[in-house]
Amino acid sequence: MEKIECKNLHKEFKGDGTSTVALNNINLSFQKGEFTAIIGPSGSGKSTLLSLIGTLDKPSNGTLTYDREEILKKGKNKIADFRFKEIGFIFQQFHLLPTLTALENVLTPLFARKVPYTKIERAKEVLKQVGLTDKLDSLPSQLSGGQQQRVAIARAIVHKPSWLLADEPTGNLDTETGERIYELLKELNELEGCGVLFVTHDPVLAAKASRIITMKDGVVLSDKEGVSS
Amino acid sequence: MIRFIWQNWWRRKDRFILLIIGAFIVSAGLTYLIGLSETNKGTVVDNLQQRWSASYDIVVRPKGTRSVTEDKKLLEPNYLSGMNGGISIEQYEMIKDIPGVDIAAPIAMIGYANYEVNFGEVELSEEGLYRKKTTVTINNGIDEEKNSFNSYFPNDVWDVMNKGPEYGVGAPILDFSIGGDSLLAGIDPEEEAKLIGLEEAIIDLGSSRYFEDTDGYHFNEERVYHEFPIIVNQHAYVDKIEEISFELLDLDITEENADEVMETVKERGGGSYLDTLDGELVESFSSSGIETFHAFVSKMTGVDWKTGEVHVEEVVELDNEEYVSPMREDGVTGIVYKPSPLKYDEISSPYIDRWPYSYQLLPFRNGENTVGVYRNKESFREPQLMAANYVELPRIKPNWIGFYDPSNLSISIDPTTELPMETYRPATAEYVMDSDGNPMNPPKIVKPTGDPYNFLTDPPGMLTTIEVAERLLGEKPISAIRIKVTGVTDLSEESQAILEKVASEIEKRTGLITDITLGSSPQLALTYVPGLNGESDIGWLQQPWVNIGSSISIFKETKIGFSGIVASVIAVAIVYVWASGIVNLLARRKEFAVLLSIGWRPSRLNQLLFIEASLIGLFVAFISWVMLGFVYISSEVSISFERFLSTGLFGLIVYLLGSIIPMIMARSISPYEAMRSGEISGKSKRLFQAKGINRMAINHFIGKWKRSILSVISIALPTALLAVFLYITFRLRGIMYTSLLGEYVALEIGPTHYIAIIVALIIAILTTAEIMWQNVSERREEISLLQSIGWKRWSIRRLILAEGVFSGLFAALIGFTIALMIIWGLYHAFPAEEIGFILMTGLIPVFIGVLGTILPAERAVRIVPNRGMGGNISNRKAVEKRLKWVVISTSLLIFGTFLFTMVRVAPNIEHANSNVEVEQVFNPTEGSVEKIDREEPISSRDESANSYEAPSDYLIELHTGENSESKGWGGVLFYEAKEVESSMPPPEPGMKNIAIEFNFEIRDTMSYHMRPDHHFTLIDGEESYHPVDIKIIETIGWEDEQWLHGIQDGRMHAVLEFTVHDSIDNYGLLLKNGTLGDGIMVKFEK
Repeated sequence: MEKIECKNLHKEFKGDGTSTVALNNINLSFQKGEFTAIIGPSGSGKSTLLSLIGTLDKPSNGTLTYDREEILKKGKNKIADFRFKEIGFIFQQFHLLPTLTALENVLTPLFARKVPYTKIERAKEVLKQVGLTDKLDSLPSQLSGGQQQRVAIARAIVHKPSWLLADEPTGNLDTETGERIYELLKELNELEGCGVLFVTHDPVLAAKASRIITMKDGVVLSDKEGVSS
Repeated sequence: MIRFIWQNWWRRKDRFILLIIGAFIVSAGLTYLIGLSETNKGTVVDNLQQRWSASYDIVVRPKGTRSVTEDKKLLEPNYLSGMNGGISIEQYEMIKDIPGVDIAAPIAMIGYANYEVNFGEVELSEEGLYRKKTTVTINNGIDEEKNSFNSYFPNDVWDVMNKGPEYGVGAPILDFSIGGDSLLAGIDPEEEAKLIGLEEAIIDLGSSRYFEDTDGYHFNEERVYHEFPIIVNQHAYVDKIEEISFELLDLDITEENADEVMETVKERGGGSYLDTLDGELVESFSSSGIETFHAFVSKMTGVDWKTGEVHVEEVVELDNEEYVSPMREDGVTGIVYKPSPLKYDEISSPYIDRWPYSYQLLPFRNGENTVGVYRNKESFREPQLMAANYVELPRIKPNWIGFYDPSNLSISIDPTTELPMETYRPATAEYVMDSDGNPMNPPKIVKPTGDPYNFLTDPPGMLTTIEVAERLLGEKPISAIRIKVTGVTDLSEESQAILEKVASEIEKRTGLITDITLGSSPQLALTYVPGLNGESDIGWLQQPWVNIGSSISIFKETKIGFSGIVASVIAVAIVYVWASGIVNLLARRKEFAVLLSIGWRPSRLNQLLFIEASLIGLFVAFISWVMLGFVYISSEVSISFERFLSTGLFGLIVYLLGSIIPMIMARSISPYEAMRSGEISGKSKRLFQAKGINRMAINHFIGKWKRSILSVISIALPTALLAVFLYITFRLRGIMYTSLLGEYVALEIGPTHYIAIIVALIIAILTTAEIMWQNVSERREEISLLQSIGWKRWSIRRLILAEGVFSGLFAALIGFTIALMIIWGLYHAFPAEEIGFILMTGLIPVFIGVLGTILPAERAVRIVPNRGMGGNISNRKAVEKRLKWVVISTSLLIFGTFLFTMVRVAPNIEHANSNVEVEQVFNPTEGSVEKIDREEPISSRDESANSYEAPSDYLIELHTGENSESKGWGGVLFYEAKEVESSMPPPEPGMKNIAIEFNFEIRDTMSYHMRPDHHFTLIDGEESYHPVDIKIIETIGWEDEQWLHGIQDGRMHAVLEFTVHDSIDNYGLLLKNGTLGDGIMVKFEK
């Protein structure tokens, strides 16, 4: 999948009588291989945008096309299949399954999926890629924050997605560890050629991206080239 | 996938243990309720159907034969023996033609036939005056009654011809002849054989056989007697010994001085003088009732009773010829008495809890015109003669054709479990209390005396055909017809409907009355038996009566009660499974969202949930099967294969059903939730401002109202059930303890129901624990925050426990409402009386709520501020190993305990039957030993004074200044008593005199036993005093200073003097005799 296009995206959340506009008339397009940072203050709608792009949620209005295909109009299982094929997610809270070891956590996306490669080998491979060969059998509670996030990244790339979506992947980490995670993402972007889209508060990290989108109150303030490109 | 599920369970061990415990309890509960107690229920129904069934479904009787007792749907035992005629052969044929009538067996009670056996003759060698003394000793079970009768005759010294009775002597009767009465009844041989297998009960002895078509009736014109075939009951029920002795009187009498001596005898009083003389025993002979009967049998059959050999009795017959009276000639005998019913009057029972129904026998007072033995005497039944004149009495010649053994009939053999309506054995009666209310321990079994008009009568001893009955009795010979209906095989509502249809058809066509006996139950009733002819009252007899239609209602209620309880336990189990499923889902909601966001299909989540449910379900099924199998092997309980299979499958189905709601809920999980952090349910509701721990708890409870409702429901359901069940038990006890069957059922199903409730409540505890556990888990941060801002451990504990209490309180409220609704729905009654204990059950949910919260609360307390998430999730080797042991040993312990209890409980189910019954049969007066409480609050007495059924200590209760008129008794009798000045000399110190003047006047035709010295007592608490002096002022119609007759306007006006303790202020005067039941109490209060 080469291109994601957002047209007139609109999203609002309805509560008890009140409705909050999270996204308002967003028009953006993303190319595979881009390394994009989305930046903005809390509540600016950046996470919402990311979840829409990642097909976790549906827009209230507007269209999202993936290579001109409107995936979100399909059934839940089809959407899930699409996610499995094309998208890897990384969360701020890591969201590892606490009852599973690092290896098992990495394996979770592959459960009940037919893949052309050996699952275990692939899982070990990606864990090696993120530098956690010695922690295969550790439970998340036995890992540090940075290690957990690296397991999460391994889980996100185990099924070879075209896109990596990260929601503040460094938000719960100290600067140094954050830096290392960032490097890892950058490396994946370059080696695997997958499009990376990440949300962050940190302007320093954002500045290193090839494209920087700034948001505020649900609208895109600016969309410019970053330093690295 | 399974590995994934397993890891998920195994690494959350605390929760896993809860899950396993839940699975164990559900499987054990289901095993018990479905696998085992269903068989138990089966025995109850079997008992209802087999053990207490009559051999007939409907009984048809002539109009007007309903006794007063039937107002209360009660039928006197062996009421059939007290009926004579009323149904014509034509009506009988009509009934036979009604569609659906399978068997119609008529019975006609003809009358009491004499039989007499001659055991030989005395040899008198010496001349002189002889006494023939006949002593009859009858054991009626209570005491031995001895009656002697003397007759005198001269031997070779004096000619008695043309001499009057004033000499006290008569013609010599030298034979040892002993006789008895036996009830003759007519039946239809064919129908009777079909109904109770009478033909099979014929015993093989000599030529003994059943009726055949060729057996016919013949009227001997020449010698005027009816000749007909009979079969004879092999058993004689009367316990009597008859002794005949001949004594030579010590009187110097010879042929020479005979006239002189006899004149002296006449002068001195004839027979009564001779009674005073001593005599020298010449010869005596005695025979018991059974021996006499057997001898009679031998004589009739020509077969020796014991050996079965044919013998010839020519010698005896030759001897007889000289002395046989015309009546006895050639086995010709007569029928004198006809059967007649007992008359009862309702009285209030002295022990209403034990015997809710109590009756008093009304003796019949015979006048001048009655036949000899009963003339001017009292009898329990009204003597009725076959004919008005002696010469018209039918002479019969019953031709013996066979013997039958009633114990071989296809009717219940045990008289205590049989519906006491059969005509083949005497009614059972137990003497349980004497006339003063002192219990007999052990109670004595009352036996019939052979007197046709006694309280207990013999069943028919001879049976003949209906045709004969018609010849002897006229056009309406049949007393009752017992009917069996086609298609009625078991005790069920369908059977009841069929019977009602047939019964109403019979009534419509013939105008006779019908009673459906299927679904009736024996019922213990108490009868007060007065003494006859001035003898002291006998006392209270307990008899199993027939409670018409009671077991069908018990059957229904048992069914409702039992299936209701099982259904509810299952409902609670499903709620629990749902609750744990939902809680499980809530706990893993975020996890699931993450799984979705990394590309899991939603259908995969459902699959996951389904597999999880199946795994536990299979585990439950397996446990159930293992338990059942173990019980099956180690005890005698037999379990059908279907039941075995269904028990396990049921557990599986419950869990699979339980996965439905979480699966539906899982559909609504959006992967987007993975993006969000913090509170999952954003819809917390708040009612109060959080100012203290309690309000905080309330807020939380209401905030998570959906899951709170789950725990509330799971507690409320068993609680409501418990309340309803208790109500039903108490209510059933009302009906039940009134009948043997009901008592049996109440005892039988009680424990099962309670076990069911306990299982349900344990499940409720688990549900609450599960939900609170989740609440605590979710509030981990909140709790550690509270701890870090300085809350004490106890406060946190209280916060969590308070939530449990709220769940409990809500559950109590809802449970109470549901209970009231169910009770209303079932009985249309508000349980006003039982409201107390129903409210008490409200404590249980609160207790459960707290109990279910203790574990989560302790967990909450252990959350330490600095310990992070997932502190209890670990796979370190040591911990792993330790926990493994904990889980395994806990499981084994639970498993073992359940198996043990099952094995212990299951055989008891079977044994309970016999134990309970034994207690019932042999110890019926248990619990009635305490004295009658006469100190009830006055208010309750006032209410009940006018009502017969209401429990009251006395028949009538009056206060100073009141008389019987003011209590509505004016039409029956007038009675008042007032205190007057005593005319007695001053008594010794510490004592005082009380004088009471009373007026007793009979206003109807009743006769009352009236002996002022015996029947009046002054009662002060425990103390009672008899009068020390009686001054009769005026009395009318007082016979023998004993009987006050209503016909003669009987009345008595007298003053009673009592000497009592000085301290007495309030006292009561009780007038109590056999006729007044519990007596009349007059209260004197200062």
